[in-house]
Amino acid sequence: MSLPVMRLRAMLAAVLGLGLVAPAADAQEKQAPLTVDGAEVSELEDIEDATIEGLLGMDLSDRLGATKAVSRSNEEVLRAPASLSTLTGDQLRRSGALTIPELLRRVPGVQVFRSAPGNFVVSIRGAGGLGGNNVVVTIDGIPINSPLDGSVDWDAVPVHPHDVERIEIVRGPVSSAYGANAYTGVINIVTRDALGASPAYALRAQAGAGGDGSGMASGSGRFVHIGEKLRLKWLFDSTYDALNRGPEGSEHPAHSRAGFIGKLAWQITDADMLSAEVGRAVSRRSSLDHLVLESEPQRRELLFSQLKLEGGGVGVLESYQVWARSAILLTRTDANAYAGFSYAETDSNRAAFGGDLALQLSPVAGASVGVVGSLDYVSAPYLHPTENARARSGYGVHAGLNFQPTPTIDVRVAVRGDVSAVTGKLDESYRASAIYHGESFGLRLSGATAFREPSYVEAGGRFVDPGSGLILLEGTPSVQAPRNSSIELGAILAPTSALSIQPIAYVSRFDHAIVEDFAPVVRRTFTNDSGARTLIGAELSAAWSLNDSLSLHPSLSLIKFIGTGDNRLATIGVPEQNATLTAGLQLDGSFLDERLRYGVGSLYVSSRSYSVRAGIPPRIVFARVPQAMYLNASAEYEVLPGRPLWLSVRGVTSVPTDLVDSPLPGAAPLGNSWVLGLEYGSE
Amino acid sequence: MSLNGCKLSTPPRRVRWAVLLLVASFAGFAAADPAEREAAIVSRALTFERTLDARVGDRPIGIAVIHKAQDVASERCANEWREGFTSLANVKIQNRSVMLKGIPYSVEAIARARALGIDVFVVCPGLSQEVVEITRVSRAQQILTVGTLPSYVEQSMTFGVFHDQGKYHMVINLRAASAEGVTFSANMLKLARIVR
Repeated sequence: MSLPVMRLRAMLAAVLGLGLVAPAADAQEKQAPLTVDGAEVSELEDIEDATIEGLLGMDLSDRLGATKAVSRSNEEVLRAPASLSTLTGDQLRRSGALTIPELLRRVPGVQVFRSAPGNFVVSIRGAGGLGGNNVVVTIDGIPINSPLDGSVDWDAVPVHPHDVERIEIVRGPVSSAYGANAYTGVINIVTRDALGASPAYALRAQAGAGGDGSGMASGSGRFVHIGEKLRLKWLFDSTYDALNRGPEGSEHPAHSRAGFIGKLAWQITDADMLSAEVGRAVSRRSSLDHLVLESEPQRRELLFSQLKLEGGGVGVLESYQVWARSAILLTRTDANAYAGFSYAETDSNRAAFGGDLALQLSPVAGASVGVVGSLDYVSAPYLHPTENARARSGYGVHAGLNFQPTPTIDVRVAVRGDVSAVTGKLDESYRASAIYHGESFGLRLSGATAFREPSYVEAGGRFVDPGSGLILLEGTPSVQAPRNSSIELGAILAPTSALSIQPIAYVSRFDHAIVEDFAPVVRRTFTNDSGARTLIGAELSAAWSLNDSLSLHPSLSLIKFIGTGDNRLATIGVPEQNATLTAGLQLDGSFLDERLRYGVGSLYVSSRSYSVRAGIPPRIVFARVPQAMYLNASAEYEVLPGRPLWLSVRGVTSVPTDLVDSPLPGAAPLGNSWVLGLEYGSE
Repeated sequence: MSLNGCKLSTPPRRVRWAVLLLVASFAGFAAADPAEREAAIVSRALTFERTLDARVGDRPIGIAVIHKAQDVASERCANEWREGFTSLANVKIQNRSVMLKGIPYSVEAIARARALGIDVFVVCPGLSQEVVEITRVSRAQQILTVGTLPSYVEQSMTFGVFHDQGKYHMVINLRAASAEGVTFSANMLKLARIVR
């Protein structure tokens, strides 16, 4: 017999032997030794050498927890059919980030630029560019994208980063769950809840200074009450941010915001709950963005609400939810202050209602179905008179199946059709995935499609230059929805209970990318690119707890375009507009029995360049954003032992220090910021 | 190595040992002594107790397993817990050794706990009627209570570790913890079920 075969047999015998020995030992009432990560606990020098997760016998699925962010129904993260990164509230605190977009920058595959205080553009996986409407952003599951164009006003998110429980970032097309605009991903901001059934509260004040001598101040807090039947949540945040507004003479207006989120939930039965949530933010910031290349003050008001009845657990009905929600965004400016286009007098409203059912058809098979209807009302002076101030309806249906042929394999398919309120056309989206998982690993192969709804400006805009009488912008009613198709292979590996690694490789293809040309002639501004744009990407993230008081979070993202379409003026999928490489490392730790908590991090982002027409009247935008390092640090100190009074300092800066990471003319440099804070509140 | 021109390959040595370790660790988890695991979890939980340094100092950590005398179930539970801690006798808790005591419940016995260097009460079943007195003492003497029944923790004890459907989980009563002067770190709290 050959040596390798003998070795194999010996190994099999050993493996089988272990299986035989264990029952024999049981028969003699002798227990096998307790082990964690291969080490016998009774032989350890200190109990700290074993992780608490390992002692609890938590497998990878237990450690990753559950989410509703991927499929909009509760599922284990390990079995979810798309890539998900979760930033915990603790990571938010230790990141030093002063805003949520600054933190999102550190997620592999996410690209962020800041053009002015409070004004950010966030994009995912090759969608880097000037448009900020490729991602659905939700707060507690309620979408806050503008009904006008799908963009996100990050300045109007009425929640302080410290009042965020977690942020879930789904990367890849997810229209099969969310419908329009879940084109390259979804970002779900989950507001802080109480710890278990305990009431929670916090009150904080912050003040800071920038390298240019500017300042900021904010006050915020939360209160969560858990009763037998009623639960109440109240968050508020008021911020004045004048940090790093740009050079004197061309400085941007300061960003200020006041907002709140309130939620009341009634536990009708053990399984059924009725909840009402409302959020409102009023903000004032620079108007500088893709279409408005001016730094005039702009007032925006966001109001969102949701009424939801949910429950389940009866027979085959695993869960149900019926909901009605609305998002209203109002924009006000001093129209006379603008040389060109402005968003003055823009009112956009979307009311939506729907229901979802999840059915457990058998122990190994389940299904989900849902419907959604929406009603839009958009009024703006730059829309075509025949398209302006009209109510429009849209609707969609979706269905999904999941099947577990074996306990370690999950197969899922989902399909959705949406008739857009903007175009009246049907757009389909699909997802199929197969997941193979064990106690310490998960392997996922998935394919999905998604679409972005053309905006009201792209389909029905009309802006006439008051001076010349020329039509500077004209929508194209026949413009098609851009589509994204992606295939992805991802894994989650946990070699030990203190380490998890998530490598992902994907291929994405953008079709019907919208091309915009603001040349000042009477013609359609928006067309679809006839060519496809294809990119391959890889992402890697890891979480490694070196011990109870020190953890490392490395991340890496690579993008390479292999097909670039026919038209360089597309708003998406332009290779140069996406950083080829990002690499980050965050270190979080604590000293003094956690009385002193700290975090330090750095992120490298490779260079980008932009050569596009933007603004109305049009201007050639050529900008090169150099490679840069983003640096952050934070420290929090518990002033009195056992009393939840925390003194904090956090700061962000970049190298080069005069970095402007936005392509927009007149964008403000990031500069550096240092903020002192005082917080009194429970965990 | 080749046979008739075809290469035969075996898994690399590291892969083989990884398979063995994986199987061995699963076998170990399946058959490990529950009492030893529970004792280990309690010991590990103590390392997340932020006031441990202040309340214990450099001396050994005193753990008293309290049971009801002449109650068979209570005595069996106490024996299992003592054996669990005994099996970890050589394992330190944040560089401190453990001093283990078995105490049949009596008002006088628990009243002297702090004087005997006790920092933790592990309270066995059969003492439901005595929970009020035990927690009165634990709060007065700032001793951390570990309940071996869920009802103990829901009622007024600080910490519990329970076994359900093949999984172990921790329960923390924050109000009780506060009364006993105990503060668990956020990393611990996020893994536990919190009760009022």
